[in-house]
Amino acid sequence: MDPFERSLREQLARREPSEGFTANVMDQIRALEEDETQTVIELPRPSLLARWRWAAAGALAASMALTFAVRENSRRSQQAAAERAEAELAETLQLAGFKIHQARERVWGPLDDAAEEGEIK
Amino acid sequence: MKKGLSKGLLLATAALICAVPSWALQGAKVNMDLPQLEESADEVVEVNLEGETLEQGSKLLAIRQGVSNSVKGLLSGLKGIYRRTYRFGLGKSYETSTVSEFEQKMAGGGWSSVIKAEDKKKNESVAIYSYRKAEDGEAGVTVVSRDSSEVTVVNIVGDVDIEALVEFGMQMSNGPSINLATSELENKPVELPTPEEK
Repeated sequence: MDPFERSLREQLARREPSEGFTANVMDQIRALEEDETQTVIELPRPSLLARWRWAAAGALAASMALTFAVRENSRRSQQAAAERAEAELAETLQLAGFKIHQARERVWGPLDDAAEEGEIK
Repeated sequence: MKKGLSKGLLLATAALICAVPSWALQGAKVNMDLPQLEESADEVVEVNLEGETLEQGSKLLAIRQGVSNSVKGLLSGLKGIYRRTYRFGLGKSYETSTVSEFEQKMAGGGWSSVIKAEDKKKNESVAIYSYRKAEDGEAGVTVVSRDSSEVTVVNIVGDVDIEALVEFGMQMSNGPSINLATSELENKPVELPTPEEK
Protein backbone atom coordinates (compact mmCIF):
# COMPACT_ATOMS: atom_id res chain seq x y z
CA MET A 1 0.00 0.00 0.00
CA ASP A 2 1.35 3.31 -0.93
CA PRO A 3 1.59 6.21 1.47
CA PHE A 4 -1.25 8.06 -0.22
CA GLU A 5 -3.61 5.18 0.14
CA ARG A 6 -2.55 4.62 3.69
CA SER A 7 -3.21 8.27 4.49
CA LEU A 8 -6.58 8.09 2.88
CA ARG A 9 -7.59 5.03 4.89
CA GLU A 10 -6.52 6.75 8.06
CA GLN A 11 -8.51 9.84 7.24
CA LEU A 12 -11.68 7.95 6.33
CA ALA A 13 -11.43 5.49 9.22
CA ARG A 14 -14.41 5.42 11.55
CA ARG A 15 -14.07 7.51 14.57
CA GLU A 16 -16.26 7.11 17.57
CA PRO A 17 -18.30 10.25 18.36
CA SER A 18 -17.34 12.21 21.39
CA GLU A 19 -19.25 11.85 24.61
CA GLY A 20 -22.54 13.60 24.60
CA PHE A 21 -22.54 14.04 20.84
CA THR A 22 -25.97 12.47 20.42
CA ALA A 23 -27.42 14.51 23.26
CA ASN A 24 -25.92 17.64 21.77
CA VAL A 25 -27.53 16.99 18.39
CA MET A 26 -30.92 16.25 19.96
CA ASP A 27 -30.71 19.44 21.97
CA GLN A 28 -30.02 21.41 18.84
CA ILE A 29 -32.99 19.80 17.10
CA ARG A 30 -35.27 20.61 19.99
CA ALA A 31 -34.04 24.17 20.00
CA LEU A 32 -34.78 24.53 16.29
CA GLU A 33 -38.32 23.17 16.77
CA GLU A 34 -38.96 25.61 19.60
CA ASP A 35 -37.77 28.47 17.47
CA GLU A 36 -40.18 27.54 14.69
CA THR A 37 -43.05 27.33 17.12
CA GLN A 38 -42.11 30.63 18.64
CA THR A 39 -41.86 32.10 15.20
CA VAL A 40 -45.42 30.98 14.41
CA ILE A 41 -46.75 32.26 17.65
CA GLU A 42 -44.99 35.55 17.40
CA LEU A 43 -46.29 36.54 13.91
CA PRO A 44 -47.96 40.00 14.28
CA ARG A 45 -51.81 40.23 13.77
CA PRO A 46 -53.18 42.28 10.84
CA SER A 47 -53.44 45.84 11.96
CA LEU A 48 -56.76 47.48 12.62
CA LEU A 49 -56.09 49.87 9.78
CA ALA A 50 -55.56 47.04 7.30
CA ARG A 51 -58.83 45.42 8.38
CA TRP A 52 -60.71 48.70 7.94
CA ARG A 53 -59.17 49.11 4.52
CA TRP A 54 -60.49 45.77 3.42
CA ALA A 55 -63.91 46.55 4.85
CA ALA A 56 -63.98 49.92 3.08
CA ALA A 57 -62.95 48.34 -0.21
CA GLY A 58 -65.71 45.77 0.14
CA ALA A 59 -68.29 48.43 0.96
CA LEU A 60 -67.19 50.53 -2.00
CA ALA A 61 -67.46 47.60 -4.36
CA ALA A 62 -70.91 46.75 -2.99
CA SER A 63 -72.15 50.33 -3.35
CA MET A 64 -70.84 50.54 -6.90
CA ALA A 65 -72.60 47.32 -7.79
CA LEU A 66 -75.80 48.58 -6.20
CA THR A 67 -75.58 51.93 -8.01
CA PHE A 68 -75.07 50.17 -11.30
CA ALA A 69 -78.03 47.90 -10.67
CA VAL A 70 -80.29 50.82 -9.74
CA ARG A 71 -79.23 52.82 -12.79
CA GLU A 72 -79.73 49.87 -15.08
CA ASN A 73 -83.18 49.26 -13.64
CA SER A 74 -84.04 52.95 -14.08
CA ARG A 75 -82.80 52.88 -17.67
CA ARG A 76 -84.91 49.84 -18.45
CA SER A 77 -87.96 51.43 -16.85
CA GLN A 78 -87.46 54.59 -18.92
CA GLN A 79 -87.03 52.51 -22.05
CA ALA A 80 -90.22 50.60 -21.32
CA ALA A 81 -92.11 53.85 -20.63
CA ALA A 82 -90.86 55.37 -23.87
CA GLU A 83 -91.94 52.29 -25.82
CA ARG A 84 -95.38 52.38 -24.21
CA ALA A 85 -95.65 56.08 -25.11
CA GLU A 86 -94.61 55.30 -28.67
CA ALA A 87 -97.26 52.59 -29.00
CA GLU A 88 -100.00 54.82 -27.58
CA LEU A 89 -98.90 57.70 -29.78
CA ALA A 90 -98.90 55.60 -32.93
CA GLU A 91 -102.28 54.08 -32.20
CA THR A 92 -103.91 57.40 -31.34
CA LEU A 93 -102.50 59.23 -34.37
CA GLN A 94 -103.47 56.43 -36.72
CA LEU A 95 -106.93 56.30 -35.23
CA ALA A 96 -107.42 60.05 -35.65
CA GLY A 97 -105.99 60.03 -39.17
CA PHE A 98 -108.12 57.15 -40.28
CA LYS A 99 -111.29 58.64 -38.87
CA ILE A 100 -110.57 61.94 -40.63
CA HIS A 101 -110.05 60.05 -43.87
CA GLN A 102 -113.30 58.14 -43.49
CA ALA A 103 -115.19 61.33 -42.60
CA ARG A 104 -113.83 62.94 -45.76
CA GLU A 105 -114.89 59.96 -47.83
CA ARG A 106 -118.36 60.10 -46.37
CA VAL A 107 -118.68 63.78 -47.14
CA TRP A 108 -116.91 63.98 -50.48
CA GLY A 109 -116.84 60.39 -51.55
CA PRO A 110 -113.71 58.45 -52.47
CA LEU A 111 -111.31 60.80 -54.24
CA ASP A 112 -110.70 58.28 -57.08
CA ASP A 113 -114.38 58.02 -57.91
CA ALA A 114 -114.85 61.78 -57.75
CA ALA A 115 -111.92 62.32 -60.08
CA GLU A 116 -113.33 59.91 -62.62
CA GLU A 117 -116.67 61.63 -62.59
CA GLY A 118 -115.07 65.06 -62.62
CA GLU A 119 -116.94 66.04 -59.51
CA ILE A 120 -114.14 66.95 -57.13
CA LYS A 121 -115.49 69.44 -54.64
CA MET B 1 -119.16 98.04 7.02
CA LYS B 2 -115.84 97.32 5.38
CA LYS B 3 -115.85 93.76 6.75
CA GLY B 4 -119.33 93.20 5.38
CA LEU B 5 -118.27 94.55 1.97
CA SER B 6 -115.20 92.33 1.76
CA LYS B 7 -117.27 89.30 2.81
CA GLY B 8 -119.84 90.09 0.17
CA LEU B 9 -117.12 90.47 -2.42
CA LEU B 10 -115.66 87.13 -1.48
CA LEU B 11 -119.03 85.44 -1.70
CA ALA B 12 -119.75 87.03 -5.06
CA THR B 13 -116.40 85.88 -6.41
CA ALA B 14 -116.99 82.37 -5.11
CA ALA B 15 -120.43 82.30 -6.71
CA LEU B 16 -118.95 83.43 -10.01
CA ILE B 17 -116.34 80.73 -9.92
CA CYS B 18 -118.95 78.08 -9.13
CA ALA B 19 -121.15 79.33 -11.93
CA VAL B 20 -118.44 78.69 -14.51
CA PRO B 21 -119.02 75.27 -16.08
CA SER B 22 -116.75 72.62 -14.66
CA TRP B 23 -115.92 71.60 -18.22
CA ALA B 24 -113.27 74.01 -19.26
CA LEU B 25 -111.15 74.63 -22.29
CA GLN B 26 -107.51 75.36 -21.87
CA GLY B 27 -106.87 76.70 -25.32
CA ALA B 28 -106.22 73.87 -27.71
CA LYS B 29 -106.27 71.32 -24.90
CA VAL B 30 -109.75 69.97 -24.26
CA ASN B 31 -111.03 68.42 -21.08
CA MET B 32 -112.45 65.22 -22.52
CA ASP B 33 -113.48 63.54 -19.31
CA LEU B 34 -117.17 62.68 -19.62
CA PRO B 35 -118.23 61.30 -16.23
CA GLN B 36 -121.67 60.27 -17.50
CA LEU B 37 -120.11 58.00 -20.10
CA GLU B 38 -117.39 56.79 -17.78
CA GLU B 39 -119.92 55.59 -15.23
CA SER B 40 -121.85 53.45 -17.69
CA ALA B 41 -118.98 52.30 -19.94
CA ASP B 42 -117.63 48.80 -19.68
CA GLU B 43 -114.19 49.88 -20.77
CA VAL B 44 -112.44 53.23 -20.77
CA VAL B 45 -109.22 53.88 -22.66
CA GLU B 46 -107.35 56.95 -21.51
CA VAL B 47 -104.22 58.32 -23.16
CA ASN B 48 -102.44 61.47 -22.01
CA LEU B 49 -99.16 62.18 -23.74
CA GLU B 50 -97.37 65.46 -23.22
CA GLY B 51 -94.01 66.85 -22.19
CA GLU B 52 -91.12 64.47 -21.90
CA THR B 53 -93.26 61.35 -22.36
CA LEU B 54 -94.55 62.61 -25.68
CA GLU B 55 -91.08 63.65 -26.74
CA GLN B 56 -89.63 60.21 -26.01
CA GLY B 57 -92.47 58.46 -27.79
CA SER B 58 -92.16 60.76 -30.79
CA LYS B 59 -88.42 60.17 -31.05
CA LEU B 60 -88.88 56.41 -31.01
CA LEU B 61 -91.69 56.54 -33.57
CA ALA B 62 -89.77 58.86 -35.88
CA ILE B 63 -86.91 56.40 -36.26
CA ARG B 64 -89.15 53.47 -37.21
CA GLN B 65 -88.99 52.21 -40.75
CA GLY B 66 -91.75 53.30 -43.05
CA VAL B 67 -92.36 56.64 -41.34
CA SER B 68 -92.37 59.33 -44.01
CA ASN B 69 -90.85 62.79 -43.69
CA SER B 70 -94.27 64.39 -43.52
CA VAL B 71 -95.21 62.19 -40.57
CA LYS B 72 -91.90 63.02 -38.92
CA GLY B 73 -92.78 66.67 -39.38
CA LEU B 74 -96.16 65.98 -37.80
CA LEU B 75 -94.49 64.35 -34.81
CA SER B 76 -92.12 67.25 -34.29
CA GLY B 77 -95.01 69.74 -34.07
CA LEU B 78 -96.97 67.89 -31.40
CA LYS B 79 -97.36 69.36 -27.93
CA GLY B 80 -99.96 67.03 -26.50
CA ILE B 81 -102.04 64.00 -27.48
CA TYR B 82 -105.09 63.01 -25.47
CA ARG B 83 -107.62 60.29 -26.09
CA ARG B 84 -110.68 58.92 -24.38
CA THR B 85 -112.49 55.87 -25.64
CA TYR B 86 -115.63 54.68 -23.89
CA ARG B 87 -116.78 51.21 -24.90
CA PHE B 88 -120.16 49.74 -24.12
CA GLY B 89 -120.93 46.05 -24.14
CA LEU B 90 -123.86 44.28 -25.75
CA GLY B 91 -127.16 45.56 -24.52
CA LYS B 92 -125.68 48.70 -23.06
CA SER B 93 -126.23 52.17 -24.42
CA TYR B 94 -125.35 55.74 -23.62
CA GLU B 95 -126.99 59.10 -23.98
CA THR B 96 -126.04 60.56 -27.35
CA SER B 97 -127.02 63.95 -25.93
CA THR B 98 -123.86 63.76 -23.81
CA VAL B 99 -121.75 63.70 -26.96
CA SER B 100 -123.88 66.39 -28.61
CA GLU B 101 -123.44 68.70 -25.62
CA PHE B 102 -119.71 68.11 -25.72
CA GLU B 103 -119.62 69.01 -29.41
CA GLN B 104 -121.65 72.14 -28.77
CA LYS B 105 -119.16 73.23 -26.14
CA MET B 106 -116.40 72.66 -28.65
CA ALA B 107 -118.12 74.98 -31.08
CA GLY B 108 -118.58 77.64 -28.39
CA GLY B 109 -115.01 77.42 -27.13
CA GLY B 110 -113.20 78.73 -30.17
CA TRP B 111 -113.17 75.48 -32.09
CA SER B 112 -114.26 75.45 -35.72
CA SER B 113 -116.10 72.50 -37.17
CA VAL B 114 -114.16 71.22 -40.18
CA ILE B 115 -116.13 68.10 -41.10
CA LYS B 116 -119.12 66.38 -39.64
CA ALA B 117 -120.40 63.13 -41.09
CA GLU B 118 -123.37 61.37 -39.60
CA ASP B 119 -125.19 58.18 -40.44
CA LYS B 120 -128.49 58.22 -38.58
CA LYS B 121 -129.46 54.73 -39.70
CA LYS B 122 -126.35 53.22 -38.18
CA ASN B 123 -126.29 55.77 -35.37
CA GLU B 124 -122.72 56.77 -36.17
CA SER B 125 -121.04 60.11 -36.52
CA VAL B 126 -117.61 61.63 -36.88
CA ALA B 127 -116.80 65.29 -36.34
CA ILE B 128 -113.49 67.05 -36.74
CA TYR B 129 -112.75 70.37 -35.07
CA SER B 130 -109.87 72.72 -35.58
CA TYR B 131 -108.49 75.36 -33.23
CA ARG B 132 -106.09 78.15 -33.95
CA LYS B 133 -105.26 81.20 -31.90
CA ALA B 134 -103.70 83.94 -33.97
CA GLU B 135 -102.05 85.74 -31.03
CA ASP B 136 -99.73 82.98 -29.95
CA GLY B 137 -100.13 80.46 -32.75
CA GLU B 138 -101.66 77.85 -30.46
CA ALA B 139 -103.39 75.22 -32.56
CA GLY B 140 -105.05 71.86 -32.27
CA VAL B 141 -107.35 69.28 -33.80
CA THR B 142 -110.06 67.26 -32.10
CA VAL B 143 -111.84 64.25 -33.50
CA VAL B 144 -115.12 63.10 -31.98
CA SER B 145 -116.54 59.84 -33.19
CA ARG B 146 -119.29 57.64 -31.91
CA ASP B 147 -121.33 54.61 -32.80
CA SER B 148 -123.75 52.40 -30.93
CA SER B 149 -121.04 50.79 -28.82
CA GLU B 150 -118.23 53.30 -28.59
CA VAL B 151 -117.41 56.95 -28.16
CA THR B 152 -113.91 58.18 -28.98
CA VAL B 153 -112.47 61.64 -28.57
CA VAL B 154 -108.95 62.44 -29.71
CA ASN B 155 -107.45 65.83 -28.94
CA ILE B 156 -104.16 66.77 -30.57
CA VAL B 157 -102.46 69.95 -29.42
CA GLY B 158 -99.91 71.52 -31.71
CA ASP B 159 -99.49 72.49 -35.30
CA VAL B 160 -101.13 69.47 -36.90
CA ASP B 161 -100.55 68.61 -40.54
CA ILE B 162 -103.91 67.03 -41.39
CA GLU B 163 -102.61 65.44 -44.58
CA ALA B 164 -99.74 63.79 -42.74
CA LEU B 165 -102.19 62.64 -40.10
CA VAL B 166 -104.45 61.11 -42.74
CA GLU B 167 -101.44 59.52 -44.40
CA PHE B 168 -100.44 57.95 -41.10
CA GLY B 169 -103.98 56.73 -40.57
CA MET B 170 -104.11 55.21 -44.04
CA GLN B 171 -100.98 53.20 -43.33
CA MET B 172 -103.11 51.22 -40.90
CA SER B 173 -106.00 50.89 -43.32
CA ASN B 174 -103.75 49.22 -45.86
CA GLY B 175 -103.06 46.45 -43.41
CA PRO B 176 -105.41 45.61 -40.59
CA SER B 177 -108.85 47.02 -41.23
CA ILE B 178 -110.54 49.54 -39.05
CA ASN B 179 -114.04 50.74 -39.61
CA LEU B 180 -115.47 54.15 -38.92
CA ALA B 181 -117.34 53.20 -35.83
CA THR B 182 -114.85 51.35 -33.77
CA SER B 183 -111.20 51.32 -33.00
CA GLU B 184 -111.04 47.54 -32.68
CA LEU B 185 -108.51 46.15 -35.14
CA GLU B 186 -109.50 43.19 -37.30
CA ASN B 187 -106.88 41.27 -39.17
CA LYS B 188 -107.97 40.52 -42.66
CA PRO B 189 -106.77 37.24 -44.21
CA VAL B 190 -104.40 37.84 -47.07
CA GLU B 191 -105.90 36.72 -50.38
CA LEU B 192 -103.30 35.44 -52.79
CA PRO B 193 -104.16 35.58 -56.49
CA THR B 194 -104.99 32.24 -58.06
CA PRO B 195 -102.99 31.10 -61.10
CA GLU B 196 -106.01 31.80 -63.28
CA GLU B 197 -106.20 35.42 -62.20
CA LYS B 198 -102.52 35.90 -62.96
